[in-house]
Amino acid sequence: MKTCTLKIILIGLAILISNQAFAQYNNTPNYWRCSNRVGGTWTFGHAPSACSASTFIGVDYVESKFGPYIFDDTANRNRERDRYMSEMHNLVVKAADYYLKKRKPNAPAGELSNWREAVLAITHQESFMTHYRDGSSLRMMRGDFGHGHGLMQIDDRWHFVNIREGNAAHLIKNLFYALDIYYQAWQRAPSTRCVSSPNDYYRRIRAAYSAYNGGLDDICRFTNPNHPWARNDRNFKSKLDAKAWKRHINAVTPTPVNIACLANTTSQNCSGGGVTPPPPVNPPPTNPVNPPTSPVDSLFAVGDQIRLLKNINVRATPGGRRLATFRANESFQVLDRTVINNSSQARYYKIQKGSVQGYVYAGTKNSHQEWAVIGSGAKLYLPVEGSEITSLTRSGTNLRATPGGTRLGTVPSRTRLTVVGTVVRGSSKELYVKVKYGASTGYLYSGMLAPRYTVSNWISIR
Amino acid sequence: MKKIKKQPTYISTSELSLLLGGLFVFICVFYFGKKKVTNEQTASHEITSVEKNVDEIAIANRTPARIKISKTEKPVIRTRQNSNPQKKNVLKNAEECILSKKCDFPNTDPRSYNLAAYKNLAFEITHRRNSVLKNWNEDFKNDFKRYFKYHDGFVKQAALETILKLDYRDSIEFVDSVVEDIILDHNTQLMDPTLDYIQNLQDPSQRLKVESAWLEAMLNGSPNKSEALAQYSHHLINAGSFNRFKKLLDKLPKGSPERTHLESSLREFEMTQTGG
Repeated sequence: MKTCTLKIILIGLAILISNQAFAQYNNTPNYWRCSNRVGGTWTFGHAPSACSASTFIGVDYVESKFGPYIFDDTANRNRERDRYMSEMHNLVVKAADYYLKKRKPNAPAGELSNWREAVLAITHQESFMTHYRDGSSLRMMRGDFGHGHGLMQIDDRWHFVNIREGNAAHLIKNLFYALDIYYQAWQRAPSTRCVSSPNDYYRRIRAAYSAYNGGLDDICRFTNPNHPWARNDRNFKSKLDAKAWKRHINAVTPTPVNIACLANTTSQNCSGGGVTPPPPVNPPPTNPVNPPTSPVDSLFAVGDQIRLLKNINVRATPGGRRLATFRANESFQVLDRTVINNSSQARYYKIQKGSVQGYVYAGTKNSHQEWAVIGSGAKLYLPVEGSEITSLTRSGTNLRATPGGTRLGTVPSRTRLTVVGTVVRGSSKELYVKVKYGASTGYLYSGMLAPRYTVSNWISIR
Repeated sequence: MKKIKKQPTYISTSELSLLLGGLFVFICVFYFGKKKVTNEQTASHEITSVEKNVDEIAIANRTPARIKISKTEKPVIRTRQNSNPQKKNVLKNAEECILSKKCDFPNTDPRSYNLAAYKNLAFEITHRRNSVLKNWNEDFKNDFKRYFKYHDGFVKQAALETILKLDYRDSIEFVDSVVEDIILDHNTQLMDPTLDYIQNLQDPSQRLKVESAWLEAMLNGSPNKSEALAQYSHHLINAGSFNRFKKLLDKLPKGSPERTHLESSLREFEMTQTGG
């Protein structure tokens, strides 16, 4: 290699290394992972810009769980704004209440009502209460050159890990994540020079906003009109005073909200304001080997093998953080299944490949045949009829007449057994395998399938 | 006439060594030179007693009942004698940048300076970990307790990962920091190192202190943190703690993620105890 070429390469390398060493925060580029970007208007529910939501969260999951909180870009703008704001305002108020009551169960009524106003004003200031938008496809609001994500404008330069994990794309997690920062300042504010007492709510709201926007070191920034970022405090004050959202919130009766359920990525359906019991996707079977009597159309059973018909994202939870993409035509064993919407029967299957275990979307009652069909040749992580297993528990495992029923005896550790069938039951999806042991036939508890997968603590499959 | 073929100028071994040496010097000059700008900025007011009102010091999120520091209380950073003054100064200077706001960090948005300054401190703590561990003394102990108080997750992480490498006797002096500034803080990203720390604790009273904080944070902590703690709660559930976790379960909001995870962990523990 010629000397000068080598020198150039080495100098370039040196600069690169130096810059790496000086990277003080995540140098996320403008509009990072932003596809299908569209603009917007500085009005409620429609703030610019918006990019494909599917990059960070499952579209079907959002549509099933957050339907009322999606701004329809194709509808009449004014009517849609009023509808959206009636729903969104109610959601933000309920989420704000939920948050404060959890953190401070004995918060006085005055604090709760002021906290609520504060949270509304921040959502106005940050995003015009914009989060999901739906036009030709589902999008999520991205402001500040794409760095701000969603309702509370979680910045992907400072909160990169949480963004990458999909927490900012999830409407409730986005709000809670930001409220953690605001609440910290809210608690601190009464002990500062710029807030006279805990009941000095107007200044407390403003101080907490200054800290939320500029860091706790700047909690009294709003008192300094010459501060370089004083305009942010002025803008916030004007929104807090005007409460412009009130003009849009009486168009429709909002959908009842269950915040705990909406926050729960493992729960299945939050419609109707309560935790609707999920459809009995795995009822007590007459034939425990592979229950065929599911009321959900063509839902594969736990233990079945499926073949994907598309490249499908694998997510840590149904609709949650993307872990990988599994390719079409590969077969996998179903480790768990969940239906996230009773009427559409949108479903996810938990599957595994190597060390990656997660959920793949598999269509609705009308489209499931486009997503997955029965497969074969998959690596088995759960026992099926005919599997050879070894019990692993040190002091042996109870053999029971029925799943969770009368104890027949104990199967010692390291015993090899042949599986006759499997049953999954209970909210923690407990797996029981039916085996013959000596003269008895019974069921062995073999771990849980979700939310934590513990089967490998109980049995190994040969 | 014999044509003289021009030889290509290949780099010799000695030239390559020289270049690599030069590269090393270049990196050092660029790197430490830039750092020195920071040092020089603070050298003019060498830290002897940097005082800062507690309002302006970042302290981890705590409920009012736990905030014991009055408005007038002022944490003090003092100059100390130690066996490694240069390295000590680098950490002090990184910390001083947070307080002074006069170092060379971006001011491109309202939080950019603070976040960069905290990340710089975290970088320096990590970068100097071996030296700090080698020269561990009372001063470092106090410094690290203060690092835990900063609300920045990167600084907490760097501090936590350092104390994990301490001898047990030194490490257990941070139980209160881990409780107050990690478990009761809203940051959800430090669960694994926190568990590593907890699982090393041998004193039952300290384990109980940690467990109480864990239960309190699941009940009254940030919703996202409650969920994270619940996901990891199976590590803390044992025959002694089972009933306390079970009692908490009924107080958690129905349908919440923390309740789902805790319920599952308790059930799994029951199954383990009874043999399935």
